[in-house]
Amino acid sequence: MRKTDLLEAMGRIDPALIEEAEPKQKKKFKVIPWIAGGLAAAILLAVLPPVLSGIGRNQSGRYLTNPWEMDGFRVVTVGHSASVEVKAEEKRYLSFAGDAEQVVAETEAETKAETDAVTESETPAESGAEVLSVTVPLDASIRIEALIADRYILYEEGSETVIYDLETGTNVNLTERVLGDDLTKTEYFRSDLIEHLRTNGWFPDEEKEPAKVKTLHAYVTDFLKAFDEGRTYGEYTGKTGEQAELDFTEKRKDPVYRDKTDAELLDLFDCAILEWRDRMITEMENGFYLPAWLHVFATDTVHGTVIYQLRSRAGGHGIFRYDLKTDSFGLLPPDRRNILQGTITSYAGEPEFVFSPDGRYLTVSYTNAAGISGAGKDDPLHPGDFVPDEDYPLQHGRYLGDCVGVFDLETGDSLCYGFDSGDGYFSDIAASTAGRLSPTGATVWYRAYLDGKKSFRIDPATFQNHRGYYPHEGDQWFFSLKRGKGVLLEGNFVRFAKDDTVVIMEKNGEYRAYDLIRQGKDITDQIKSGKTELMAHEYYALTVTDGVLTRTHLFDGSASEVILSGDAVCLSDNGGFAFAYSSEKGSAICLNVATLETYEIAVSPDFAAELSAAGNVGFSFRYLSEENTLFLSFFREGDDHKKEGIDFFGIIKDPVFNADPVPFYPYILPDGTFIAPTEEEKALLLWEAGMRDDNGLTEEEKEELIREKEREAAMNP
Amino acid sequence: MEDGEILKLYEERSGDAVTETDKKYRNYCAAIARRILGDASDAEEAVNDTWMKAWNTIPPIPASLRSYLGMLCRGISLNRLEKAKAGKRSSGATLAIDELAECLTDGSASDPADTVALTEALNRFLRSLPKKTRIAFVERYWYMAPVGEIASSLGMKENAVSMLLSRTRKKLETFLKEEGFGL
Repeated sequence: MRKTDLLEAMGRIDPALIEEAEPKQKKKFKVIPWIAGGLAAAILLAVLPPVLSGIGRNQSGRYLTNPWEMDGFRVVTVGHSASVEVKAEEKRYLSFAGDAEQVVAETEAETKAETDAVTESETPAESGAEVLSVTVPLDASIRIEALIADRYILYEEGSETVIYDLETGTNVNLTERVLGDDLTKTEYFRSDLIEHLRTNGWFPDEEKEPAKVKTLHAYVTDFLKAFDEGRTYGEYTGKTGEQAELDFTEKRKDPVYRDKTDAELLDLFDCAILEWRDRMITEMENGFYLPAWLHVFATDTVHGTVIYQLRSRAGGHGIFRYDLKTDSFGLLPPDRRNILQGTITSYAGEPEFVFSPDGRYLTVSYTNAAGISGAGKDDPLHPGDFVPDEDYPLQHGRYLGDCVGVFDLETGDSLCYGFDSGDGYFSDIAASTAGRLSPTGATVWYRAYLDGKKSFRIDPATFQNHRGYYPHEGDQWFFSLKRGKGVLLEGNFVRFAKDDTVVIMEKNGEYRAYDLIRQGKDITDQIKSGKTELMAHEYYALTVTDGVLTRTHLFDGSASEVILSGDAVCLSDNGGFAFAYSSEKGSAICLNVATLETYEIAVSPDFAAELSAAGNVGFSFRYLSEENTLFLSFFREGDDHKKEGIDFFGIIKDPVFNADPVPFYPYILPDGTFIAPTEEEKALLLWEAGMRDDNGLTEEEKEELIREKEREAAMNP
Repeated sequence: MEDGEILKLYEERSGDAVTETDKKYRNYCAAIARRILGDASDAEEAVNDTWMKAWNTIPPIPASLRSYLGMLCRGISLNRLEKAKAGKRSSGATLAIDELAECLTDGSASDPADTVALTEALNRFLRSLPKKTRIAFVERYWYMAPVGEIASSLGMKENAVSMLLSRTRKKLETFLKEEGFGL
């Protein structure tokens, strides 16, 4: 026989033997050693389950794990590698089986069979998937705001916004970069100029302009070009004076030209430029103007876009976008409906910004309080016993319902959908129609009063309005889906789960889960059988009564009780954590609801000293998952927010609506650092609130302060 | 789609048979071809040849479509490898083939009936092995998997796998001699 015969015979062996030995799909565990930049060595997933607690997950499946560990924070990626762009529709979900020992990744597209197969595996099943983790030691005083594009961490350090690149280990101080000298002198001025010209209507529509005359558009363009070339204003005006093409006789009829001749427009334009120039000069020569300020208010964690507001020292506002992938800045198109600017700069509840899955639209849900400033104290529409809190600090004015605004980041077009507020009282908010975007923007949902009236359905993909009749009667919740479709569900809304693709409702004490992707299919049984898994904490309903946290499993009814002894207890907004503070111990406890693990948060001696000095204080907690920050506020027991003469540790006077003082909440950072106003700040705040005669300043300082206010008043009559 | 339904398509000579086969078994066959040929584009061609061969050879209906396709793909890939070797190209599979060839003394051209007998002898030999050894052997000499990959799938060290394979080859050599092959 030949040697090759053996090879051939081997190829024909029993199929059962072949199948038995078929190589299994392997999972790759790639651990990236983060050596550069002082990063600590990577750690394997195997040691992570206890800390895989689900804080700060971004849309592509990366986690910021327990922030309360003092050695920094950890980032765990499951699924795509950081170098692969993850589209929103491909985003992966993570589920933790009950004991958090098993990590399962699945996609929406997976079939049931595939899902079952994945469920059996211990690691992400997709070939090429990476699981990496990294511990990044950072100064504990930072506040992590967002994980962007699976690569950058945006955090606040003091008053500055910093972006940390996980792959290169480098920091970019966004605030410094935007407000730094270089940008201030060039890009910032140019952006400010463009904004100034836009808001004054000096950007006519190019398409409508007659070609035979020197167009206003070209005029503005010339000016900007001269500006970019660094020519002085004098040089520029000399040049514009020679514009022979300008028509000095014919009035432009288009409303955008205000029924004026080009010559008149030239004058107006020059005035506008002079106004801007004067403002800039003042800004450059400043001494007492507002500090320039950058505020990031929305981050597209999938596509890597940061939207921020910039306030110049002269008080001008502009909204910009920073694209991390291209490292480019740009002014957003004009916001004609004032949706973004309005929700940021005036009181509109707590505006929640959500990007559409493709990153093109920025949506904001907010409380429409347009009548607030006009109503004032004499026209309060809320019941008299309303007590403001962190969520609803507003005391006066007309509540006009909740709105969802949509802003097109490319064109500036915007839409605004209002949701009828019922009788308009704050106390009825919970019962009234609350139009909201779900946390990931996957659905727009609101309570439907089903009386057969026409209503609308918003397509969360295109934000187009689809008219339709509610088919049923009764009180139901409506979840808008793509292409004008939607799901009507009865009962009480409990929570979204699994990145908004599942919604859990309660009716007659029974909890049911519905799959929004599959047109509201009831998947309760799948969840009960373990075929579909949720995030670990999403299985539970939580109640806190007399310091006892009761954790009830939504689907099997089993309950656990945890005694949270302390002076104050709160739950995180996603239900993943519970916090308790003990003034006796001077520390706070963070409880992972899913695993029942606890972490102790040490409180600084300064904080404890403040408390002991105050005595007889009450506490309240608030934990913001998105910002990863625990707020601890405290006040004298028995005080009423509405009464004068209260003695909080800090008082701020509502600058917008001139309402009664509301408490200023000092906060503690994860390492226990206590941030409180200084004595001078406290005195000044109380003095400004009219609650104290002495402002704590020296005579000289008082005079300077008065002079400063006079100067300010003169500049802004 | 279930194998039975795909095979029915073959019986009906429906063009969907190849489409469905490709949908279900491309990854499986591509993995086999890649291991042998070591080149993705060559493997791609081998898989396409496999579909062609399956179309031409079914019916009759094989007992296991999966194994049958794997066997076809393996054979096609080995033929391609042979051609590539002539062109001085080689892959990890070349090593595996050489290893296996050590078990048989080269002789004269054989009768097809001998090959059938040899296959049966191999089946008997493989069934007599401990499971782990059998899997390692088939992974190496049927799937042409690299030693490292076998080690990873069995949770063994590479050296241990090499040693295991070496001992099994020796056993096979003895076994084949006892069975009257290679004389």
